[in-house]
Amino acid sequence: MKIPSNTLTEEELIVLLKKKDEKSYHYLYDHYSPALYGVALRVLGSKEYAEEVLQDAFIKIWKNIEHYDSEKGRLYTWMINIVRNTAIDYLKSKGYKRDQMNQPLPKFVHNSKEFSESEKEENMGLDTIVSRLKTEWRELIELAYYKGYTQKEIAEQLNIPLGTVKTRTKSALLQLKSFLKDFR
Amino acid sequence: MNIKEYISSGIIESYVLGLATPEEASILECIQKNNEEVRLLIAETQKSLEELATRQAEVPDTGLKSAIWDAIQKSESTQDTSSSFTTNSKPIQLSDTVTAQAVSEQKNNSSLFMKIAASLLLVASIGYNFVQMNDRAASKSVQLAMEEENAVLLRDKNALEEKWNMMNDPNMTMIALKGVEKHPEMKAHVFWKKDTKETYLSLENLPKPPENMQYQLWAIVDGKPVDIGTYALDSTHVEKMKKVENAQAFAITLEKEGGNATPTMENMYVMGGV
Repeated sequence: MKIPSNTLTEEELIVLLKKKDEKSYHYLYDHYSPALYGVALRVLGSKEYAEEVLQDAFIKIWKNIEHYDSEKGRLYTWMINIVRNTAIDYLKSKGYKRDQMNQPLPKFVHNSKEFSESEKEENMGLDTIVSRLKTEWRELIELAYYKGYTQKEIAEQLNIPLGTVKTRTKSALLQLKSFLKDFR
Repeated sequence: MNIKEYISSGIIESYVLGLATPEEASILECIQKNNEEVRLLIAETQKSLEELATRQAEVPDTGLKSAIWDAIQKSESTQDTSSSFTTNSKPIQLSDTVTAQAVSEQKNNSSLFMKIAASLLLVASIGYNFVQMNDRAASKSVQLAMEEENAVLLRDKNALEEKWNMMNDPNMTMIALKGVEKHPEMKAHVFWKKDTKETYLSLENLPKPPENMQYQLWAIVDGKPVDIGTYALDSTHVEKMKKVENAQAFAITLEKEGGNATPTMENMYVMGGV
């Protein structure tokens, strides 16, 4: 099976992944590993753990591609959630203390010299997007999305009524959407 | 609550962020199948988080790519020890499995019809045997036992015939309710008549409810559960429930006798989208 070097649609990639063709792994890794690794880093805050989680997540993706259901969302979303859930499980099993989770996310240092100045700037821009969110919204996205807190745990942690968690989630994502648009 | 209020409650954002409870998530997944607006909003919100991931990308160390590929290979070979010799023909093997699955799924749609037809035949033949034995003037106790058994069979036969007729009614929609996470093996069927909006319930393999408890059927209308009535305690038939105008999904919970005003989510047994 010849894989064109440019981009595949998700549907094409899914077909190739289901055939378990080694080339589909190369495509998958080359196109998605930075984004997925970024998610793992955000959750775990450690390069070493994030690498382990990335490996586990790729194995899960490879093995479970048959169970991917396009009705529930795109392939990219499905993969992000696999990495995120694997990382959150890891976080909990490694006995990370819950009270440390509310700390600001650590700044990630690029160890790769291949990063150009423009790429660095792009990533700096990202930090600005996140930090520009109002504190209460940033906290909520970090606890829910990167730390796997339940609605009840968030209500307790932030000392807000349970019913407020959903409405605040909505406001937080609306703000995030508009910031992403500004930086497009 | 109408669909606008449901959307503005923040349920979609909570779902996409992974905050929704399993019950909330299954209700939303049912609704999105029938509601284009909800489906698009979920997709749009997921896309925002994809964009966030793209922007937060960090390139991993160069050695990781081949290390992960090795790990994948290793996990594959430990998994298929029984059929390791087929590794080379994997693509063929896989597509075969997929075809077989697709065929069996197709079969499932009509398997209920087949089961009911087979059961009707069985009931008919046992009934015939009973008549034969009766002629030979069996002892009184045997006859009593047979009569009891016959009553049970007759009841089952009537229930099956009732279901059979419903499924052959062109205005009837059959909705399969499947077990939730806690009760994966459970199932039930709701029959909904499009023209008259009548709803019927058949509890397939749900266990007998504990004392002072009753099963209650709910329709999910624009995200809100609406009471469709309780399943009579002594009933073994397809039970007629309350009418419902426009449901996106149905669910069954176990409630106190007489039913509840709102469903007890922890006691949900089965649910299914229309």
